[in-house]
Amino acid sequence: MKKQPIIASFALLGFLVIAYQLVDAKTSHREYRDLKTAECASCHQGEGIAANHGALWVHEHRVFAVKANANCADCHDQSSCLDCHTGGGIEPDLTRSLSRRGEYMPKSHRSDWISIHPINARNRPQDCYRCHDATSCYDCHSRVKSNTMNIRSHVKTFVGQDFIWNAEHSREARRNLQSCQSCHPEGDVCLQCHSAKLSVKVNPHPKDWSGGKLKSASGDKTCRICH
Amino acid sequence: MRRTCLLMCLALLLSMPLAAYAVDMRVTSSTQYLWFNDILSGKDDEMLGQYLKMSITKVNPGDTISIQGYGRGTYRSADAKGADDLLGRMYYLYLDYRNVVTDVDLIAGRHYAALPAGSALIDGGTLSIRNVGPVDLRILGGRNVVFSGDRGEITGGNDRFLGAGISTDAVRLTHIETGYARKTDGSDIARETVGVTITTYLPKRVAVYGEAKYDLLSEATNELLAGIKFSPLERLTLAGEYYESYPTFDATSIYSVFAVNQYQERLVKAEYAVTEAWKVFASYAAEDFNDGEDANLYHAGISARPVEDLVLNVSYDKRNGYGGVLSGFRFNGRYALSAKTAVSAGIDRDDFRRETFADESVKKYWIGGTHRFNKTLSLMVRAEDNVNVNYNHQYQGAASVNAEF
Repeated sequence: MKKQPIIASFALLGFLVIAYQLVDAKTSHREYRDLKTAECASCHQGEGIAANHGALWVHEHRVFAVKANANCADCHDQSSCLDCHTGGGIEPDLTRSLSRRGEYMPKSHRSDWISIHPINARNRPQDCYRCHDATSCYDCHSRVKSNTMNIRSHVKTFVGQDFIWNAEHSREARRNLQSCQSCHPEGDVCLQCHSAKLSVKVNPHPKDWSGGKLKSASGDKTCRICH
Repeated sequence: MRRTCLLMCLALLLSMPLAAYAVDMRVTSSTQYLWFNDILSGKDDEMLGQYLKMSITKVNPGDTISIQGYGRGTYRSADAKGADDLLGRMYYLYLDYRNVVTDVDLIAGRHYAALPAGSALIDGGTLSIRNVGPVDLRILGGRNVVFSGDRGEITGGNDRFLGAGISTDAVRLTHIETGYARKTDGSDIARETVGVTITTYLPKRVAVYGEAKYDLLSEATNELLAGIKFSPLERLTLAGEYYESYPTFDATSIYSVFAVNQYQERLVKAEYAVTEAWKVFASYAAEDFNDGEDANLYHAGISARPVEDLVLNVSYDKRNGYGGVLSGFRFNGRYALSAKTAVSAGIDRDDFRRETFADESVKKYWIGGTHRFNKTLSLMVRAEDNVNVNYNHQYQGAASVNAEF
């Protein structure tokens, strides 16, 4: 892993923090909770505080919301978080579609989400897992025939097997391994070639792999699947 | 489902005697009816849902104790294999006790807990201790609660989430926090992460923020984010971000041993308020998937209130590169007919080509309205028509009766 960007980023942040400390202390927002977002700007801009809750706030809010002293609760209940992150929808919002379980579909889940999600899921792949665990993918994918998949390594064929198995699968897997887990939660398909117990024994590990702490964390159970 | 309903009823029953002490109890209810076509079964389907949220405050003289609860029950005539027709979710039900002793807060029950190292919905407690010298401490732990799609909770009693955080606001308008989180899967350690976040507001309307999460078991930086946001003009906000991620998995999963690639993203965005009533925004992200694959993502839009009772939003997105090509726009508007009644409508259209697909286009038309009968009761109805490769016309919608008392 590249460590230089981490060190450089935090060195920069540290420098900026120390260099500028001239403005007022944090304000409680409880008394402003009934204001419209547009009205916040009169204080925020006037006091020199960078604006938030803009059009791109959904994308930005995470770092600010996770803080121990985040003042989100001055205006929002925990339901505001959980309606998106764990599926829900008590607050009516006409601009959003609802899922099969009556849950908010975030704006990123566009017009025909089932068709489009393989494209959108590539953008910041970690973002899917802030609301969904791998098993939630499996709920649908377990009901989809493998020969209807349309990714490079799973192209439909008419002979022998449901799809053409090709070298592209390794590149796809390295870029978004979580998507493999969606349909193959136990990785049994992978182990047909990648297990050390079978004849092919294709090494799946990263370069310089030692297993290290992963090995002890699972009490060797994970290792023993293949070894 | 039964356990969730029982807990909700119990919570409500337990809270009733509190009314005798002039506590403030607020309840929000939403009764929803949905109709749709299940694309997997190909059949028309319906669902009934009941949401309930409550907040009890002013329990003691200093108003330092509150009880918060939120849950729902849904009924669906399910035909999906393995799916339950009756499902319940208890999102949270917790006691929030501020200043149990000076500078010590306690949250006990089911609640959402977030640390820089990770977040989880837990059945347990969060203890916050303020002003330990220049720092605040948080210690939390409990059963890790995970809901999944068509099923209920999928985690058991031995799935736990534990964490601790140290934060400081000693530097003005700056928050620095580090945290540690551990997730166990049965008797095994599934995840162990440390994280750090920094946010600081600087003069001249500048905010700088950063976040890093390191997976101790995989020995890899799971996520890294560094951003700066500033307003060179009062009505203009600019931002730039660098983000990278490296997928890591539970140590108990076979996927934890596989080689993966790092993902990197560079993002710039701008928002400009032309007037109070007209705002424009745009963003561009360059995505790098490694192995020579990348993508570009463009997003722009306008939000306007041309007359007092009318709100219009339009946005355009374009993505090209690895994974497929996507372009589309969204348009929606809301018009308030009166103080009690409003109508809304919108169109979404997307054109896309996945890697192995031919070109496709999809459209969604929707219309809806809200009406408030009185201070307590309101109604919302929404219907949509989906036109895509699977349906010539697929109509679905939702109606909800909402009450606040």
